[in-house]
Amino acid sequence: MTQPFLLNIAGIVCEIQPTTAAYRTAMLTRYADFIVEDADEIAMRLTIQRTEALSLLPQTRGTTWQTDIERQGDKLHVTSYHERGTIDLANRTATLELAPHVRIENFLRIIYAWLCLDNDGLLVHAAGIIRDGQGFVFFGPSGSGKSTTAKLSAGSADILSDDLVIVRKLDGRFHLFGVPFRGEMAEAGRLNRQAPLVGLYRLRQASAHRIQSLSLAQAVAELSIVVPFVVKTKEANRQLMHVSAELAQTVGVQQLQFRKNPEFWQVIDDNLATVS
Amino acid sequence: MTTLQQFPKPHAQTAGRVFEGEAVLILADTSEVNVLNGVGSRIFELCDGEHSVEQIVNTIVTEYNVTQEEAMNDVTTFIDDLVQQNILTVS
Repeated sequence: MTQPFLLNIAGIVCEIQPTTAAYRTAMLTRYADFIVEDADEIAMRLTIQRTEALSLLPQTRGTTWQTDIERQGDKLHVTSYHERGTIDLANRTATLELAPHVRIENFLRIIYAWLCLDNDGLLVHAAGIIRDGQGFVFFGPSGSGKSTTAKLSAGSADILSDDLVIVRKLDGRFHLFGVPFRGEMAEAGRLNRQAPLVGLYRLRQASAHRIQSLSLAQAVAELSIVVPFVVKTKEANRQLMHVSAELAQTVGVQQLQFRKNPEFWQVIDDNLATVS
Repeated sequence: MTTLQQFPKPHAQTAGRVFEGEAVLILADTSEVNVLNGVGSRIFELCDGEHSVEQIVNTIVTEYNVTQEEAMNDVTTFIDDLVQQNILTVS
């Protein structure tokens, strides 16, 4: 066993114990910007084991990536093509067995999805952008324009991701946090940065830029759909609605109809000016 | 078919909450998210295991100024539909 290292994403720290020095070195490189020397609190301790020839689910070319998550009491059992693991939510420990060529990222996303839910936050399938020191989240189903808004903003803002970000309440206010997880946009920095969250926008491509308000129920429903990996138990769903409602009430969730040009930012700026 | 003497309540795996008169439901089994309209949200709110279908019908008659027949038809159809979707159960 090698020395464990600490991964800090959105202020939530996970201790990771790799099996070999080489694997440890690879992960330290991969997650360099999110590694810390110490932490006041460790939210999860993950132990990794590598297993040769681990093949669990049949892989069919062209299909959506499949990860089976089953909850039994306080434990989540995760199975994907070449990995399987257990997350013990009560004891805050996790074990992961994976084939040599497989990375831990899929499993880490699941861990952090649950840890965020438990810590006044959400791991959201969304584009996250920091502009003039303020955080903006753009979300919607595949094809709605997350990557487009990120690419259109690349010259004038910091793109945290076009795929996954964390929003979390700290010191009484929601913040947008970058994550080290890969999205579609290769040039997205996966920056370890945060900013006060000032808006969440449900994207719809249209012929003109326009912001429309959503009812609180609609906002909660729209946000609930874009929180991946959380096994939909009644208790988790209650917490999901609680956090989503708080986001909608304190930050605001609106629908942004937009064309494929960066002028949507003017519409957002004008809207923020009217509510401030 | 739901009867007037039955007591509907949310399915064990359904999380539901009313926000400003609109109910959001998340079904654990399918991960489906639904938003109910005003009347549907009020009916769902009353399906708490403590109101019979008859009591729910009477409440809808009073609050929405509709006939007994209209309310009975709407309430029982709505509850039947939600039972079929495993959103509600009846006892």
